[in-house]
Amino acid sequence: MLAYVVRRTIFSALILLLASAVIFYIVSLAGDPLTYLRQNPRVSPEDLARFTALYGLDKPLWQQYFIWITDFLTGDMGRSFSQNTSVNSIVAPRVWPTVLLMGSSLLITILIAIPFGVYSALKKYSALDNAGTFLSFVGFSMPTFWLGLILQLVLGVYLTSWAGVRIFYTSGMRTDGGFVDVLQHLALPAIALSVISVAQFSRFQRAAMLDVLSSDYLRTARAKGLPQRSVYLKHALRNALMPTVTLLAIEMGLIFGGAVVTETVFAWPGLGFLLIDSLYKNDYNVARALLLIAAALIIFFNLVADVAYSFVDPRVSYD
Amino acid sequence: MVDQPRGMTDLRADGAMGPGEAAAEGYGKVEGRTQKQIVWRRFKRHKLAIAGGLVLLLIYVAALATPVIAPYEYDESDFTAINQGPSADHPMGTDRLGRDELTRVLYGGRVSLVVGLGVGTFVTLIGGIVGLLSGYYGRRVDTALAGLMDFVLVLPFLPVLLVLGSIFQFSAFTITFVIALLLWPRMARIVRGQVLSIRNQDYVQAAKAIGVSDVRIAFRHVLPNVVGIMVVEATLVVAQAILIETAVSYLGLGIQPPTPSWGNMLEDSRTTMTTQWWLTWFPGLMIVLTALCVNFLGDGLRDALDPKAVE
Amino acid sequence: MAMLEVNDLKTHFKTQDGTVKAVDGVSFSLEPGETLGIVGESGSGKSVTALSLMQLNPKPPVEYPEGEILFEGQDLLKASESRMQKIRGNDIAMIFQDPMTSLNPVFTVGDQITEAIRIHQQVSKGEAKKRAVQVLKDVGIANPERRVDEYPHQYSGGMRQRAMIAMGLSCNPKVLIADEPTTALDVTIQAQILELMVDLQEKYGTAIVMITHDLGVVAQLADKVMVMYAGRAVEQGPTDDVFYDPMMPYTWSLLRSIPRLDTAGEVRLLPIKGTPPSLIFLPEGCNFNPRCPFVKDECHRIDPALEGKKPGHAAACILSPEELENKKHRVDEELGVEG
Repeated sequence: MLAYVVRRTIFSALILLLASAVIFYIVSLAGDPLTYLRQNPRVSPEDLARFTALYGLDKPLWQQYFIWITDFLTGDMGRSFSQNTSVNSIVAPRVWPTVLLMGSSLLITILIAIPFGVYSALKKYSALDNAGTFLSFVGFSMPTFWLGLILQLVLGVYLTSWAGVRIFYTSGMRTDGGFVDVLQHLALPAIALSVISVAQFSRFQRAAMLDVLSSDYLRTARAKGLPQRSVYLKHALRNALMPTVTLLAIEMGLIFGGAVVTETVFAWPGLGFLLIDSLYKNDYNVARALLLIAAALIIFFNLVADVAYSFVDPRVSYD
Repeated sequence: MVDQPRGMTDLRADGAMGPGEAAAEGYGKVEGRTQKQIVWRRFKRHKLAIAGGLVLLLIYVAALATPVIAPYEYDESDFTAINQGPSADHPMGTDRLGRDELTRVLYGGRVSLVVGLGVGTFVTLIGGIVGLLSGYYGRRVDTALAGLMDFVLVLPFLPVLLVLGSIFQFSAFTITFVIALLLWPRMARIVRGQVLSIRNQDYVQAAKAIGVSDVRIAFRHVLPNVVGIMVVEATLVVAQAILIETAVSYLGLGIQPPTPSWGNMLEDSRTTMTTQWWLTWFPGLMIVLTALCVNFLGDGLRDALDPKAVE
Repeated sequence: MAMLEVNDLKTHFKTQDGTVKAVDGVSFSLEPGETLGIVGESGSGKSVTALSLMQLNPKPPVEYPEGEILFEGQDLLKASESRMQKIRGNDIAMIFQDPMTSLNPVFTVGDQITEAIRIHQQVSKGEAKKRAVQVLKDVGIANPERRVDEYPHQYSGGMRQRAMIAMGLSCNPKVLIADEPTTALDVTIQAQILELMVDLQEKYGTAIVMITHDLGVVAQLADKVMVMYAGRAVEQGPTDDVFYDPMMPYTWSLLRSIPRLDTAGEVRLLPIKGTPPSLIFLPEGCNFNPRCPFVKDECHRIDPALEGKKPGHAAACILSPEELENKKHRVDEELGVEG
């Protein structure tokens, strides 16, 4: 088991290293980051040379990559092109808002999707199940950014003017506002982000549960004289949750990529919004760092999913 | 937690189509009905899929015929009719430059529909070929190709796309190509799994044993059995691509104005969202409608092509 | 009154294409310690009969339009679900065909056995576990103290079936229904499992309903046998009577379709033509007529009921025993077999 985890970890690290090279190269396609300085007549050649040296742009690309990745491994994500500061200090304050938003979305998803998926499987083709099927199709087909706009319009603008008081805020996040204020800001982006996950996971849970419901061992459990309740909640659910746990772990890895659109629509000050912001400002060193963080999260949570599976399913052992 | 749905095949199914299941049923006649008839019979039962298919057809025809049927030009400004709500002259209203929203929705649809169909085609081609090769030849070819799939899958899809969009300005063609380059591994994986299980079926082994050539086996035995699952996955890819393109364009990194696309039209509507509601609702509803139709169609196809479904 | 008495049981499936009469009027009885073999091809209704006894057929689509299942005088078809839960596993236990899929993969074998015990008996966890170890030992699992804490995937196929039997017997039931318990196992393991069941029956005095398509199993174990075809019992009686003097051409065909070691001289095997009929489109007259080697004109018109041919031995065939005997002889002569 331990040997497997070690082997898998080393492999993941190699993949990540490869991904970092690809990411570095892709971002370098943006060309010379100092173009705007060169076009500025007030910037002297000496200053230009100083900046070129500061960013290490005088070295060949592979050396630049080498410096970047070694710095990264020691916790230094490089220098921003647009602000006179380190990427670290730009990224750091953005972490918590993203974690908060993603955590809420994850919580909403688990609390709604899993019970509803199980219910839908037990009451297959009931009115509620059919409604769930239809709504999840709508959910799959809904662009998140547009859902965000509609939420802003309906729950932000219309509701506020109808109620006379502001219930939900449509953008940003205040750090000094206290708990209720945070919730007021958090609600809409969290809902927008959860809709697709809820659609996806409730269907997934339903399929997993249906799979288990037709299994022989449930018939065995009934033949023992177990009451229906224990048959479902003990024997069926335990098996039906295993694939969901894995998928949830994998989903966590996609946290960041998933946040970009929603955070931008709601001007939520997280990592996703930062990516768009850095792209607008041509600050490719920030974008580069964020891409690598995103890839690292995906790879890490894939590893977690793998290892988690061996814990929930006794049949899997990696000896 | 995710902005765009991924992997819906396995999520929508009551139990996903197991690899090899299609092969087990085979393609011949079952009690006097040909495979085609069975598939058609099952598909017909799926009312939403039929409706989805018809509406989608209508949307595509409208997109093809846009230059003929559009009431105005997409960049034709009428400064006497700025920011007007829906009326007989302008069924979807006008924007802040007095351009007809219906016309722009029609033209914008052309972009999204072309991207959707284009990505679907590219992904099917790349994913299909790689999956077939990987599953059929196994060993080193498989290790290399499967490694490539895994690698593309760990790249953060949307961020990479956005970075590329900011470096190179996307045209409808380039965004199609880049999305396809990032989306093909899922298709390849599905095809690979299916091919792997078919390859180990007795009849393929038997064909090999009597010396039937690889190419012949691939076309006679393997391909017919993966086509169904590829078609279903392709519909999902089309819907996904449409949602992705609109999102990227909305973020200002996709199709650039003045070419209208549903995404950049919605971005344009942001500032006037509270007063000109029609500019926010109509393009968005068109995205949802299109994606919904594609997904319903895909669901119907999945039911029809799934041999596990009860006849 | 017999311990278990089934009268005119009908188990029907309501489907879109019509009613499937999976079991259509089956009667039999079972005394303590007795073994009944139910034989038939797949789709003949034998497994559905077994699940009917346990009331485990999914409702809907299953309906029981007629008949009764009297267990110790109580009609199980009318029993409430909670009453059935008390009977299942405790009075009537069941083991299934595929031991690879019939145990829950995420619980240890011990957990699954103790669960069965603790549903029906007020015993402590420790006590239940002791009992689990004991039954595992009874079914011949070596090292039961260690094995009890293992998961099903750590068991071999034969061991899993032993574990299933252990679970079935853990509450000392009066009836054990075994639905093709050896079909999924290797031949050598099959013999061991059957022997085990005979031993345990003697030890515990359990009555067994053995469902199988394997005539050899029935010959080895059963006191009496019921042959099913297309949802009906077409012949039933004491095992020896049925095997040595089959009164229904289907039974005769079944016996002639398998090789035997005890017959003198060479007997040509006689495969049964065709396939079992669709339960939705049954043939006119006798259900077996399309495949019957002795078919007469009347067979296409008359649907014969099960009737006594000899004391305790009933068959559903319009041919008289003499007629049947003649026809059997003729076939044997054609094939060149000496009586």
